[in-house]
Amino acid sequence: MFEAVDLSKPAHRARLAADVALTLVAMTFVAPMIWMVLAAFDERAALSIALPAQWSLGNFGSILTEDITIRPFMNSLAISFGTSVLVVVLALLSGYALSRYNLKYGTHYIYIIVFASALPVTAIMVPVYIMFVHIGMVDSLMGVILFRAASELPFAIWLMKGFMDAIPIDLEEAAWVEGASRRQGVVHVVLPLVAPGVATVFILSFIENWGNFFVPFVLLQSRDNYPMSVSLFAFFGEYGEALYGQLAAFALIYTLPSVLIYFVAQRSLQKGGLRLGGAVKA
Amino acid sequence: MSAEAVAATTPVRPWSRRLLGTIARVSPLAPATVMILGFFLVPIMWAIYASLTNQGLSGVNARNPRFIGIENYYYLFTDPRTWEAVGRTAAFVLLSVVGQNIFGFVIAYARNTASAFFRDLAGTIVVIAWVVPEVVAGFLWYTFLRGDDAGMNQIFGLVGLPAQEWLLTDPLAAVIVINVWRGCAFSMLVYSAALQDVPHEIIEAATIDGATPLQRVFRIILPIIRPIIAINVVLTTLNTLGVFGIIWITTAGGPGTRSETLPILMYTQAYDFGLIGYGSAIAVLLLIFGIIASLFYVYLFRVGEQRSV
Repeated sequence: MFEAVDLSKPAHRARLAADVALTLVAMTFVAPMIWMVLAAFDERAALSIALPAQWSLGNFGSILTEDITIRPFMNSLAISFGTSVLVVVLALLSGYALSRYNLKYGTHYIYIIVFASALPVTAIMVPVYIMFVHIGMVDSLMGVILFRAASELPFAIWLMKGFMDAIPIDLEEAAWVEGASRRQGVVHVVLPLVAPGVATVFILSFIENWGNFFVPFVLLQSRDNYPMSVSLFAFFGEYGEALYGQLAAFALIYTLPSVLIYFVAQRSLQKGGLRLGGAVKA
Repeated sequence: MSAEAVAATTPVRPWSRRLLGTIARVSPLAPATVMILGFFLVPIMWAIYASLTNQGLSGVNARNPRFIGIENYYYLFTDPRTWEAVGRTAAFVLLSVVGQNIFGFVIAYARNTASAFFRDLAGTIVVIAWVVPEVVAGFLWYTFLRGDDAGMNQIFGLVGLPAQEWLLTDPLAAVIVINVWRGCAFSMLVYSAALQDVPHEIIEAATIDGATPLQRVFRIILPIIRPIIAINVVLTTLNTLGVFGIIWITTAGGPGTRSETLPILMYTQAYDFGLIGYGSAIAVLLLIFGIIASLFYVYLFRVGEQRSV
Protein backbone atom coordinates (compact mmCIF):
# COMPACT_ATOMS: atom_id res chain seq x y z
CA MET A 1 0.00 0.00 0.00
CA PHE A 2 2.66 2.53 0.99
CA GLU A 3 5.82 2.53 -1.05
CA ALA A 4 9.18 3.97 -0.04
CA VAL A 5 9.62 7.55 -1.20
CA ASP A 6 12.90 8.66 -2.75
CA LEU A 7 12.68 12.43 -3.14
CA SER A 8 15.54 12.54 -5.65
CA LYS A 9 13.26 10.92 -8.24
CA PRO A 10 10.74 13.23 -9.98
CA ALA A 11 8.11 10.50 -10.16
CA HIS A 12 8.33 10.01 -6.39
CA ARG A 13 8.13 13.75 -5.75
CA ALA A 14 5.02 13.92 -7.96
CA ARG A 15 3.45 11.04 -6.10
CA LEU A 16 4.14 12.62 -2.73
CA ALA A 17 2.66 15.94 -3.92
CA ALA A 18 -0.45 14.13 -5.17
CA ASP A 19 -0.77 12.21 -1.88
CA VAL A 20 -0.58 15.43 0.15
CA ALA A 21 -3.06 17.21 -2.14
CA LEU A 22 -5.53 14.33 -1.90
CA THR A 23 -5.23 14.25 1.88
CA LEU A 24 -6.25 17.92 1.95
CA VAL A 25 -9.12 17.18 -0.46
CA ALA A 26 -10.31 14.29 1.69
CA MET A 27 -10.16 16.40 4.86
CA THR A 28 -12.06 19.30 3.26
CA PHE A 29 -14.74 17.07 1.82
CA VAL A 30 -15.25 15.00 4.94
CA ALA A 31 -15.39 17.98 7.34
CA PRO A 32 -19.10 18.79 6.90
CA MET A 33 -20.00 15.11 7.26
CA ILE A 34 -18.23 14.27 10.53
CA TRP A 35 -20.76 16.12 12.64
CA MET A 36 -23.68 13.98 11.49
CA VAL A 37 -21.95 10.72 12.33
CA LEU A 38 -20.91 11.89 15.82
CA ALA A 39 -24.12 13.77 16.68
CA ALA A 40 -26.28 10.80 15.75
CA PHE A 41 -24.77 8.88 18.68
CA ASP A 42 -24.88 11.79 21.12
CA GLU A 43 -28.15 12.53 22.89
CA ARG A 44 -26.85 15.95 23.93
CA ALA A 45 -25.49 16.90 20.54
CA ALA A 46 -25.06 20.59 19.78
CA LEU A 47 -23.86 22.30 16.63
CA SER A 48 -20.17 21.84 17.28
CA ILE A 49 -18.22 18.79 16.18
CA ALA A 50 -17.48 16.85 19.37
CA LEU A 51 -17.04 13.27 20.47
CA PRO A 52 -20.13 12.29 22.45
CA ALA A 53 -19.50 12.45 26.22
CA GLN A 54 -21.57 9.29 26.24
CA TRP A 55 -22.06 7.21 23.13
CA SER A 56 -25.67 6.16 22.88
CA LEU A 57 -28.27 4.76 20.52
CA GLY A 58 -30.92 6.88 22.26
CA ASN A 59 -31.44 9.15 19.26
CA PHE A 60 -32.19 6.19 17.04
CA GLY A 61 -34.53 4.79 19.69
CA SER A 62 -36.47 8.06 19.84
CA ILE A 63 -36.99 8.40 16.11
CA LEU A 64 -37.67 4.77 15.21
CA THR A 65 -41.42 5.20 15.41
CA GLU A 66 -44.07 4.58 12.79
CA ASP A 67 -44.72 8.29 12.22
CA ILE A 68 -41.22 9.71 12.27
CA THR A 69 -39.10 7.16 10.45
CA ILE A 70 -40.81 3.96 9.41
CA ARG A 71 -43.62 5.34 7.24
CA PRO A 72 -41.38 7.86 5.43
CA PHE A 73 -38.84 5.10 4.90
CA MET A 74 -41.49 2.86 3.36
CA ASN A 75 -42.75 5.75 1.21
CA SER A 76 -39.21 6.41 -0.05
CA LEU A 77 -38.84 2.73 -0.76
CA ALA A 78 -42.16 2.62 -2.64
CA ILE A 79 -41.25 5.67 -4.75
CA SER A 80 -37.71 4.51 -5.51
CA PHE A 81 -38.60 0.90 -6.16
CA GLY A 82 -41.80 1.62 -8.12
CA THR A 83 -40.10 4.20 -10.30
CA SER A 84 -37.04 2.07 -10.97
CA VAL A 85 -39.08 -0.99 -11.98
CA LEU A 86 -41.20 1.11 -14.33
CA VAL A 87 -38.12 2.80 -15.79
CA VAL A 88 -36.31 -0.50 -16.36
CA VAL A 89 -39.27 -2.20 -18.07
CA LEU A 90 -40.08 0.70 -20.38
CA ALA A 91 -36.41 1.38 -21.14
CA LEU A 92 -35.92 -2.30 -22.06
CA LEU A 93 -38.79 -2.15 -24.55
CA SER A 94 -37.65 1.13 -26.10
CA GLY A 95 -33.97 0.26 -25.98
CA TYR A 96 -34.60 -3.01 -27.81
CA ALA A 97 -36.63 -1.37 -30.57
CA LEU A 98 -34.08 1.42 -31.04
CA SER A 99 -31.16 -0.99 -31.04
CA ARG A 100 -32.54 -3.82 -33.18
CA TYR A 101 -35.05 -2.36 -35.64
CA ASN A 102 -33.71 -0.06 -38.27
CA LEU A 103 -36.37 2.56 -37.60
CA LYS A 104 -36.84 5.35 -40.10
CA TYR A 105 -36.63 8.11 -37.52
CA GLY A 106 -34.61 6.19 -34.94
CA THR A 107 -31.70 8.62 -34.89
CA HIS A 108 -34.02 11.60 -34.59
CA TYR A 109 -35.81 9.86 -31.76
CA ILE A 110 -32.50 9.38 -29.94
CA TYR A 111 -31.56 13.03 -30.34
CA ILE A 112 -34.91 14.05 -28.88
CA ILE A 113 -34.37 11.62 -26.00
CA VAL A 114 -30.92 13.06 -25.31
CA PHE A 115 -32.38 16.57 -25.45
CA ALA A 116 -35.15 15.67 -23.02
CA SER A 117 -32.76 13.91 -20.64
CA ALA A 118 -30.81 17.14 -20.20
CA LEU A 119 -33.73 19.50 -19.51
CA PRO A 120 -33.88 20.76 -15.91
CA VAL A 121 -36.90 19.05 -14.35
CA THR A 122 -37.16 21.85 -11.79
CA ALA A 123 -38.40 24.18 -14.51
CA ILE A 124 -41.53 22.15 -15.27
CA MET A 125 -42.65 21.43 -11.70
CA VAL A 126 -45.11 24.32 -11.50
CA PRO A 127 -47.02 23.27 -14.64
CA VAL A 128 -46.79 19.60 -13.62
CA TYR A 129 -48.40 20.58 -10.34
CA ILE A 130 -51.29 22.37 -12.11
CA MET A 131 -51.72 19.39 -14.42
CA PHE A 132 -51.82 17.01 -11.44
CA VAL A 133 -54.44 19.18 -9.74
CA HIS A 134 -56.61 18.90 -12.85
CA ILE A 135 -56.28 15.13 -13.20
CA GLY A 136 -56.57 14.54 -9.45
CA MET A 137 -53.09 13.12 -8.90
CA VAL A 138 -51.77 15.63 -6.37
CA ASP A 139 -50.77 14.04 -3.07
CA SER A 140 -50.55 10.56 -4.56
CA LEU A 141 -47.48 8.32 -4.43
CA MET A 142 -48.52 6.86 -7.77
CA GLY A 143 -48.43 10.35 -9.26
CA VAL A 144 -44.89 10.90 -7.97
CA ILE A 145 -43.82 7.51 -9.34
CA LEU A 146 -45.27 8.20 -12.79
CA PHE A 147 -43.69 11.62 -13.04
CA ARG A 148 -40.33 10.49 -11.70
CA ALA A 149 -40.32 7.58 -14.14
CA ALA A 150 -41.15 9.87 -17.06
CA SER A 151 -38.37 12.26 -16.13
CA GLU A 152 -35.82 9.47 -15.89
CA LEU A 153 -36.86 7.53 -18.96
CA PRO A 154 -35.02 9.58 -21.59
CA PHE A 155 -31.62 8.96 -19.98
CA ALA A 156 -32.50 5.35 -19.13
CA ILE A 157 -33.59 4.58 -22.71
CA TRP A 158 -30.39 5.98 -24.11
CA LEU A 159 -28.33 4.01 -21.60
CA MET A 160 -30.27 0.80 -22.25
CA LYS A 161 -29.92 1.19 -26.02
CA GLY A 162 -26.15 1.34 -25.51
CA PHE A 163 -26.20 -1.90 -23.52
CA MET A 164 -28.38 -3.56 -26.20
CA ASP A 165 -26.04 -2.39 -28.97
CA ALA A 166 -23.18 -4.16 -27.21
CA ILE A 167 -24.94 -7.55 -27.51
CA PRO A 168 -24.05 -9.12 -30.88
CA ILE A 169 -27.12 -9.65 -33.06
CA ASP A 170 -25.61 -12.95 -34.26
CA LEU A 171 -26.62 -14.58 -30.99
CA GLU A 172 -30.25 -13.72 -31.58
CA GLU A 173 -30.07 -14.75 -35.22
CA ALA A 174 -28.68 -18.11 -34.18
CA ALA A 175 -31.70 -18.59 -31.94
CA TRP A 176 -34.06 -17.68 -34.81
CA VAL A 177 -32.35 -20.21 -37.06
CA GLU A 178 -33.04 -22.80 -34.36
CA GLY A 179 -36.69 -21.88 -34.67
CA ALA A 180 -37.07 -19.42 -31.81
CA SER A 181 -39.53 -16.57 -32.28
CA ARG A 182 -38.38 -13.00 -31.75
CA ARG A 183 -40.03 -12.98 -28.35
CA GLN A 184 -38.24 -16.20 -27.33
CA GLY A 185 -34.98 -14.73 -28.59
CA VAL A 186 -35.49 -11.65 -26.46
CA VAL A 187 -36.41 -13.59 -23.34
CA HIS A 188 -33.78 -16.34 -23.57
CA VAL A 189 -30.88 -14.60 -25.31
CA VAL A 190 -31.08 -10.83 -24.90
CA LEU A 191 -32.44 -10.51 -21.36
CA PRO A 192 -29.74 -12.61 -19.65
CA LEU A 193 -27.01 -10.73 -21.51
CA VAL A 194 -28.44 -7.30 -20.79
CA ALA A 195 -28.71 -8.04 -17.06
CA PRO A 196 -25.76 -5.73 -16.16
CA GLY A 197 -27.52 -2.93 -18.06
CA VAL A 198 -30.75 -3.63 -16.19
CA ALA A 199 -28.86 -3.50 -12.89
CA THR A 200 -27.14 -0.24 -13.82
CA VAL A 201 -30.34 1.51 -14.89
CA PHE A 202 -32.19 0.20 -11.86
CA ILE A 203 -29.54 1.26 -9.35
CA LEU A 204 -28.97 4.71 -10.87
CA SER A 205 -32.70 5.30 -10.89
CA PHE A 206 -33.07 4.02 -7.35
CA ILE A 207 -30.35 6.27 -5.91
CA GLU A 208 -31.64 9.26 -7.84
CA ASN A 209 -35.18 8.75 -6.54
CA TRP A 210 -34.09 7.98 -3.01
CA GLY A 211 -32.38 11.36 -2.88
CA ASN A 212 -34.91 13.40 -4.80
CA PHE A 213 -36.56 16.21 -2.87
CA PHE A 214 -38.20 18.72 -5.18
CA VAL A 215 -40.70 16.44 -6.95
CA PRO A 216 -42.33 14.95 -3.82
CA PHE A 217 -41.99 18.33 -2.10
CA VAL A 218 -44.19 19.93 -4.77
CA LEU A 219 -46.54 17.04 -5.51
CA LEU A 220 -47.24 15.60 -2.05
CA GLN A 221 -49.19 17.35 0.69
CA SER A 222 -50.09 15.04 3.52
CA ARG A 223 -47.54 13.93 6.03
CA ASP A 224 -48.57 10.29 5.63
CA ASN A 225 -47.26 10.35 2.07
CA TYR A 226 -43.94 12.07 2.70
CA PRO A 227 -40.79 10.21 1.74
CA MET A 228 -37.62 10.58 3.85
CA SER A 229 -36.43 13.67 1.95
CA VAL A 230 -39.54 15.74 2.61
CA SER A 231 -39.85 14.38 6.17
CA LEU A 232 -36.30 15.40 7.00
CA PHE A 233 -37.02 18.87 5.65
CA ALA A 234 -40.22 19.14 7.68
CA PHE A 235 -38.57 17.69 10.80
CA PHE A 236 -35.70 20.14 10.38
CA GLY A 237 -38.15 23.06 10.08
CA GLU A 238 -39.98 22.06 13.26
CA TYR A 239 -37.24 20.87 15.58
CA GLY A 240 -34.14 22.12 13.76
CA GLU A 241 -32.87 24.22 16.61
CA ALA A 242 -33.51 21.70 19.36
CA LEU A 243 -33.19 18.03 18.52
CA TYR A 244 -29.88 17.98 16.70
CA GLY A 245 -28.98 14.45 17.73
CA GLN A 246 -32.27 12.99 16.52
CA LEU A 247 -32.04 14.92 13.27
CA ALA A 248 -28.54 13.59 12.70
CA ALA A 249 -29.73 10.04 13.42
CA PHE A 250 -32.60 10.44 10.96
CA ALA A 251 -30.26 11.88 8.32
CA LEU A 252 -27.86 9.00 8.85
CA ILE A 253 -30.58 6.37 8.42
CA TYR A 254 -31.75 8.18 5.30
CA THR A 255 -28.23 8.45 3.85
CA LEU A 256 -26.98 4.90 4.43
CA PRO A 257 -29.01 3.09 1.73
CA SER A 258 -27.76 5.32 -1.12
CA VAL A 259 -24.15 5.13 0.03
CA LEU A 260 -24.29 1.35 0.53
CA ILE A 261 -25.98 0.66 -2.79
CA TYR A 262 -23.56 2.93 -4.60
CA PHE A 263 -20.46 1.27 -3.25
CA VAL A 264 -21.78 -2.26 -3.69
CA ALA A 265 -22.50 -1.50 -7.33
CA GLN A 266 -19.69 0.99 -7.95
CA ARG A 267 -17.71 -0.94 -10.51
CA SER A 268 -20.54 -1.65 -12.90
CA LEU A 269 -22.01 1.83 -12.42
CA GLN A 270 -18.85 3.61 -13.44
CA LYS A 271 -18.59 1.44 -16.50
CA GLY A 272 -22.19 1.88 -17.51
CA GLY A 273 -23.19 5.25 -16.20
CA LEU A 274 -20.34 7.27 -17.59
CA ARG A 275 -20.02 5.78 -21.02
CA LEU A 276 -19.23 8.32 -23.73
CA GLY A 277 -18.82 11.06 -21.16
CA GLY A 278 -22.58 10.96 -21.25
CA ALA A 279 -24.09 11.13 -17.98
CA VAL A 280 -25.82 10.51 -14.76
CA LYS A 281 -27.87 13.43 -13.59
CA ALA A 282 -26.47 14.64 -10.30
CA MET B 1 -45.81 -15.79 -34.86
CA SER B 2 -45.28 -12.07 -34.56
CA ALA B 3 -46.39 -9.64 -37.25
CA GLU B 4 -42.97 -8.87 -38.62
CA ALA B 5 -42.07 -12.56 -38.73
CA VAL B 6 -45.15 -13.05 -40.90
CA ALA B 7 -44.04 -10.12 -43.02
CA ALA B 8 -40.55 -11.52 -43.37
CA THR B 9 -41.73 -14.85 -44.75
CA THR B 10 -44.13 -13.28 -47.27
CA PRO B 11 -42.45 -12.63 -50.62
CA VAL B 12 -44.74 -9.81 -51.73
CA ARG B 13 -45.58 -7.37 -48.98
CA PRO B 14 -48.77 -5.43 -49.55
CA TRP B 15 -49.06 -2.07 -47.81
CA SER B 16 -51.27 -3.50 -45.07
CA ARG B 17 -48.57 -6.02 -44.11
CA ARG B 18 -45.92 -3.32 -44.20
CA LEU B 19 -48.04 -1.17 -41.94
CA LEU B 20 -48.49 -4.06 -39.51
CA GLY B 21 -44.74 -4.60 -39.57
CA THR B 22 -44.05 -0.95 -38.83
CA ILE B 23 -46.55 -0.95 -36.01
CA ALA B 24 -44.94 -4.05 -34.51
CA ARG B 25 -41.51 -2.42 -34.69
CA VAL B 26 -42.58 0.91 -33.27
CA SER B 27 -44.98 -0.36 -30.60
CA PRO B 28 -42.29 -1.09 -27.96
CA LEU B 29 -41.50 2.64 -28.03
CA ALA B 30 -45.11 3.58 -27.35
CA PRO B 31 -45.38 3.37 -23.54
CA ALA B 32 -42.21 5.36 -22.87
CA THR B 33 -43.03 7.88 -25.58
CA VAL B 34 -46.52 8.43 -24.22
CA MET B 35 -45.12 8.98 -20.73
CA ILE B 36 -42.42 11.38 -21.89
CA LEU B 37 -44.86 13.37 -24.02
CA GLY B 38 -47.49 13.38 -21.29
CA PHE B 39 -45.19 14.49 -18.52
CA PHE B 40 -42.79 16.73 -20.46
CA LEU B 41 -44.43 18.17 -23.56
CA VAL B 42 -47.86 18.67 -22.02
CA PRO B 43 -46.48 20.48 -18.93
CA ILE B 44 -44.28 22.69 -21.12
CA MET B 45 -47.33 23.66 -23.20
CA TRP B 46 -49.29 24.09 -20.02
CA ALA B 47 -46.62 26.35 -18.57
CA ILE B 48 -46.81 28.60 -21.61
CA TYR B 49 -50.60 28.68 -21.38
CA ALA B 50 -50.70 29.21 -17.59
CA SER B 51 -48.16 32.02 -17.86
CA LEU B 52 -50.73 33.94 -19.90
CA THR B 53 -53.39 33.63 -17.18
CA ASN B 54 -53.89 34.84 -13.64
CA GLN B 55 -54.04 31.24 -12.34
CA GLY B 56 -53.80 31.17 -8.56
CA LEU B 57 -52.97 28.45 -6.06
CA SER B 58 -56.28 28.81 -4.22
CA GLY B 59 -59.44 30.90 -4.29
CA VAL B 60 -61.34 32.17 -7.33
CA ASN B 61 -58.24 32.40 -9.53
CA ALA B 62 -57.48 28.75 -8.91
CA ARG B 63 -60.86 27.56 -10.17
CA ASN B 64 -61.47 30.10 -12.92
CA PRO B 65 -58.20 31.52 -14.20
CA ARG B 66 -58.62 34.40 -16.61
CA PHE B 67 -56.58 34.98 -19.75
CA ILE B 68 -54.52 38.11 -19.18
CA GLY B 69 -52.17 38.14 -22.18
CA ILE B 70 -48.58 39.03 -21.51
CA GLU B 71 -49.28 40.82 -18.24
CA ASN B 72 -47.22 38.30 -16.22
CA TYR B 73 -44.28 38.78 -18.55
CA TYR B 74 -44.67 42.54 -18.34
CA TYR B 75 -44.37 42.38 -14.54
CA LEU B 76 -41.63 39.79 -14.74
CA PHE B 77 -39.41 41.79 -17.07
CA THR B 78 -39.97 45.13 -15.32
CA ASP B 79 -39.36 43.80 -11.80
CA PRO B 80 -35.73 44.34 -10.75
CA ARG B 81 -36.09 41.25 -8.52
CA THR B 82 -36.27 39.11 -11.67
CA TRP B 83 -33.05 40.50 -13.09
CA GLU B 84 -31.29 40.16 -9.77
CA ALA B 85 -32.36 36.50 -9.68
CA VAL B 86 -31.17 36.02 -13.27
CA GLY B 87 -27.81 37.55 -12.32
CA ARG B 88 -27.52 35.36 -9.24
CA THR B 89 -28.47 32.28 -11.25
CA ALA B 90 -25.76 33.17 -13.77
CA ALA B 91 -23.18 33.61 -11.01
CA PHE B 92 -24.34 30.43 -9.26
CA VAL B 93 -24.15 28.37 -12.45
CA LEU B 94 -20.92 29.90 -13.76
CA LEU B 95 -18.94 29.61 -10.53
CA SER B 96 -20.35 26.17 -9.69
CA VAL B 97 -19.48 24.86 -13.13
CA VAL B 98 -16.00 26.38 -13.12
CA GLY B 99 -15.38 25.10 -9.59
CA GLN B 100 -16.70 21.59 -10.23
CA ASN B 101 -14.77 21.20 -13.46
CA ILE B 102 -11.47 22.57 -12.17
CA PHE B 103 -11.56 20.70 -8.86
CA GLY B 104 -12.98 17.62 -10.57
CA PHE B 105 -10.11 17.60 -13.04
CA VAL B 106 -7.43 18.37 -10.45
CA ILE B 107 -8.65 15.61 -8.15
CA ALA B 108 -8.86 13.15 -11.05
CA TYR B 109 -5.36 14.12 -12.16
CA ALA B 110 -3.93 13.82 -8.66
CA ARG B 111 -5.61 10.43 -8.25
CA ASN B 112 -3.82 9.27 -11.37
CA THR B 113 -0.44 10.09 -9.80
CA ALA B 114 -1.07 9.28 -6.12
CA SER B 115 -0.48 6.03 -4.26
CA ALA B 116 -3.38 3.60 -4.17
CA PHE B 117 -4.34 4.39 -0.57
CA PHE B 118 -4.79 8.13 -1.10
CA ARG B 119 -6.41 7.62 -4.48
CA ASP B 120 -9.11 5.43 -2.92
CA LEU B 121 -9.47 7.55 0.21
CA ALA B 122 -10.08 10.82 -1.66
CA GLY B 123 -12.21 9.10 -4.31
CA THR B 124 -14.47 7.48 -1.73
CA ILE B 125 -15.00 10.63 0.31
CA VAL B 126 -15.64 12.87 -2.70
CA VAL B 127 -18.13 10.35 -4.08
CA ILE B 128 -19.95 10.08 -0.73
CA ALA B 129 -20.48 13.86 -0.80
CA TRP B 130 -22.21 13.32 -4.15
CA VAL B 131 -24.27 10.25 -3.19
CA VAL B 132 -25.59 11.82 0.04
CA PRO B 133 -29.23 12.88 -0.58
CA GLU B 134 -29.72 16.55 -1.39
CA VAL B 135 -31.66 17.37 1.79
CA VAL B 136 -28.96 15.74 3.92
CA ALA B 137 -26.28 17.75 2.09
CA GLY B 138 -28.20 20.94 2.82
CA PHE B 139 -28.73 19.95 6.45
CA LEU B 140 -25.05 19.05 6.90
CA TRP B 141 -23.88 22.37 5.51
CA TYR B 142 -26.43 24.32 7.50
CA THR B 143 -25.11 22.80 10.71
CA PHE B 144 -21.51 23.17 9.52
CA LEU B 145 -21.82 26.89 8.79
CA ARG B 146 -24.42 28.11 11.25
CA GLY B 147 -23.11 30.08 14.22
CA ASP B 148 -19.90 30.57 16.18
CA ASP B 149 -19.91 27.00 17.55
CA ALA B 150 -20.45 25.28 14.20
CA GLY B 151 -17.88 22.96 12.67
CA MET B 152 -16.32 25.38 10.23
CA ASN B 153 -15.71 28.00 12.88
CA GLN B 154 -14.24 25.34 15.17
CA ILE B 155 -11.75 24.50 12.41
CA PHE B 156 -11.13 28.18 11.64
CA GLY B 157 -10.48 28.73 15.35
CA LEU B 158 -7.88 25.95 15.39
CA VAL B 159 -5.92 27.51 12.54
CA GLY B 160 -6.34 31.06 13.86
CA LEU B 161 -8.91 32.40 11.38
CA PRO B 162 -11.72 34.67 12.58
CA ALA B 163 -15.22 33.18 12.91
CA GLN B 164 -17.47 33.52 9.86
CA GLU B 165 -21.22 33.54 9.35
CA TRP B 166 -21.33 32.95 5.60
CA LEU B 167 -25.00 31.96 5.46
CA LEU B 168 -25.80 35.49 6.62
CA THR B 169 -22.93 37.56 5.23
CA ASP B 170 -22.25 35.80 1.90
CA PRO B 171 -25.20 33.50 1.27
CA LEU B 172 -24.67 33.22 -2.49
CA ALA B 173 -20.98 32.34 -2.07
CA ALA B 174 -21.98 29.79 0.59
CA VAL B 175 -24.48 27.97 -1.66
CA ILE B 176 -21.92 27.97 -4.49
CA VAL B 177 -19.37 26.32 -2.18
CA ILE B 178 -21.98 23.75 -1.15
CA ASN B 179 -22.88 23.02 -4.74
CA VAL B 180 -19.24 22.63 -5.78
CA TRP B 181 -18.70 20.25 -2.85
CA ARG B 182 -21.68 18.20 -3.94
CA GLY B 183 -21.02 18.21 -7.67
CA CYS B 184 -17.25 17.63 -7.79
CA ALA B 185 -17.54 13.84 -7.80
CA PHE B 186 -19.42 13.78 -11.07
CA SER B 187 -16.74 15.78 -12.89
CA MET B 188 -14.04 13.78 -11.13
CA LEU B 189 -15.50 10.50 -12.43
CA VAL B 190 -15.89 11.88 -15.94
CA TYR B 191 -12.32 13.21 -16.01
CA SER B 192 -10.89 10.06 -14.43
CA ALA B 193 -12.41 8.08 -17.29
CA ALA B 194 -11.12 10.65 -19.80
CA LEU B 195 -7.58 10.50 -18.41
CA GLN B 196 -7.55 6.72 -18.81
CA ASP B 197 -8.03 7.25 -22.54
CA VAL B 198 -5.06 9.61 -22.98
CA PRO B 199 -2.35 7.47 -24.61
CA HIS B 200 0.61 6.89 -22.29
CA GLU B 201 3.14 7.04 -25.13
CA ILE B 202 2.29 10.65 -25.95
CA ILE B 203 2.87 11.77 -22.38
CA GLU B 204 6.07 9.75 -22.08
CA ALA B 205 7.36 11.16 -25.36
CA ALA B 206 6.65 14.70 -24.15
CA THR B 207 8.40 13.99 -20.84
CA ILE B 208 11.48 12.74 -22.66
CA ASP B 209 11.41 15.89 -24.80
CA GLY B 210 11.61 17.89 -21.57
CA ALA B 211 7.99 19.02 -21.10
CA THR B 212 7.33 20.17 -17.52
CA PRO B 213 4.31 18.70 -15.69
CA LEU B 214 2.34 21.92 -16.29
CA GLN B 215 3.15 21.86 -19.99
CA ARG B 216 2.03 18.25 -20.16
CA VAL B 217 -1.34 19.21 -18.66
CA PHE B 218 -1.97 22.37 -20.67
CA ARG B 219 -0.34 21.45 -23.97
CA ILE B 220 -1.17 17.75 -24.22
CA ILE B 221 -3.78 16.38 -21.84
CA LEU B 222 -6.31 19.22 -21.93
CA PRO B 223 -6.30 19.52 -25.75
CA ILE B 224 -6.79 15.75 -26.08
CA ILE B 225 -9.76 15.60 -23.68
CA ARG B 226 -11.27 18.88 -24.93
CA PRO B 227 -14.45 17.25 -26.36
CA ILE B 228 -15.12 15.66 -22.97
CA ILE B 229 -14.52 18.97 -21.19
CA ALA B 230 -17.03 20.63 -23.51
CA ILE B 231 -19.74 18.05 -22.92
CA ASN B 232 -19.10 17.96 -19.17
CA VAL B 233 -19.29 21.75 -18.89
CA VAL B 234 -22.66 21.78 -20.65
CA LEU B 235 -23.90 18.88 -18.53
CA THR B 236 -22.84 20.45 -15.23
CA THR B 237 -24.46 23.70 -16.39
CA LEU B 238 -27.74 21.91 -16.98
CA ASN B 239 -27.54 20.12 -13.63
CA THR B 240 -26.79 23.37 -11.80
CA LEU B 241 -29.53 25.38 -13.51
CA GLY B 242 -32.23 23.38 -11.73
CA VAL B 243 -30.66 23.26 -8.26
CA PHE B 244 -33.31 23.98 -5.66
CA GLY B 245 -33.01 21.81 -2.55
CA ILE B 246 -29.63 22.82 -1.17
CA ILE B 247 -30.44 26.53 -1.52
CA TRP B 248 -33.94 26.15 -0.12
CA ILE B 249 -32.70 24.23 2.90
CA THR B 250 -29.64 26.33 3.78
CA THR B 251 -30.78 29.89 3.02
CA ALA B 252 -34.27 29.63 1.44
CA GLY B 253 -33.03 32.35 -0.92
CA GLY B 254 -32.25 34.73 1.94
CA PRO B 255 -31.37 36.70 3.93
CA GLY B 256 -33.92 38.86 2.13
CA THR B 257 -33.43 37.81 -1.47
CA ARG B 258 -29.64 37.65 -1.37
CA SER B 259 -29.34 34.05 -2.54
CA GLU B 260 -32.55 33.91 -4.57
CA THR B 261 -31.97 32.15 -7.90
CA LEU B 262 -34.64 31.57 -10.58
CA PRO B 263 -35.87 28.20 -9.25
CA ILE B 264 -36.22 29.74 -5.77
CA LEU B 265 -38.03 32.80 -7.17
CA MET B 266 -40.32 30.50 -9.16
CA TYR B 267 -41.21 28.42 -6.12
CA THR B 268 -41.70 31.44 -3.86
CA GLN B 269 -44.01 33.23 -6.29
CA ALA B 270 -46.01 30.12 -7.19
CA TYR B 271 -46.43 28.59 -3.73
CA ASP B 272 -45.67 31.15 -1.03
CA PHE B 273 -47.57 33.92 -2.82
CA GLY B 274 -49.95 31.59 -4.65
CA LEU B 275 -49.29 33.19 -8.03
CA ILE B 276 -49.22 30.09 -10.23
CA GLY B 277 -49.57 32.08 -13.46
CA TYR B 278 -46.67 34.32 -12.56
CA GLY B 279 -44.63 31.33 -11.36
CA SER B 280 -45.31 29.69 -14.72
CA ALA B 281 -43.87 32.73 -16.50
CA ILE B 282 -40.68 32.29 -14.43
CA ALA B 283 -40.75 28.57 -15.29
CA VAL B 284 -40.89 29.48 -18.99
CA LEU B 285 -37.91 31.80 -18.57
CA LEU B 286 -35.97 29.05 -16.78
CA LEU B 287 -36.99 26.56 -19.47
CA ILE B 288 -35.67 28.82 -22.21
CA PHE B 289 -32.24 28.81 -20.57
CA GLY B 290 -32.52 25.04 -20.14
CA ILE B 291 -33.56 24.48 -23.76
CA ILE B 292 -30.65 26.58 -25.07
CA ALA B 293 -28.14 24.61 -22.97
CA SER B 294 -29.85 21.33 -23.85
CA LEU B 295 -29.66 22.04 -27.60
CA PHE B 296 -26.00 22.74 -27.14
CA TYR B 297 -25.68 19.39 -25.37
CA VAL B 298 -27.37 17.53 -28.24
CA TYR B 299 -25.05 19.31 -30.68
CA LEU B 300 -21.94 18.18 -28.76
CA PHE B 301 -23.43 14.70 -28.40
CA ARG B 302 -23.87 14.46 -32.19
CA VAL B 303 -20.36 15.69 -32.83
CA GLY B 304 -19.06 13.09 -30.36
CA GLU B 305 -21.07 10.27 -31.97
CA GLN B 306 -19.85 11.15 -35.45
CA ARG B 307 -16.27 11.24 -34.22
CA SER B 308 -16.49 7.85 -32.53
CA VAL B 309 -18.06 6.18 -35.61
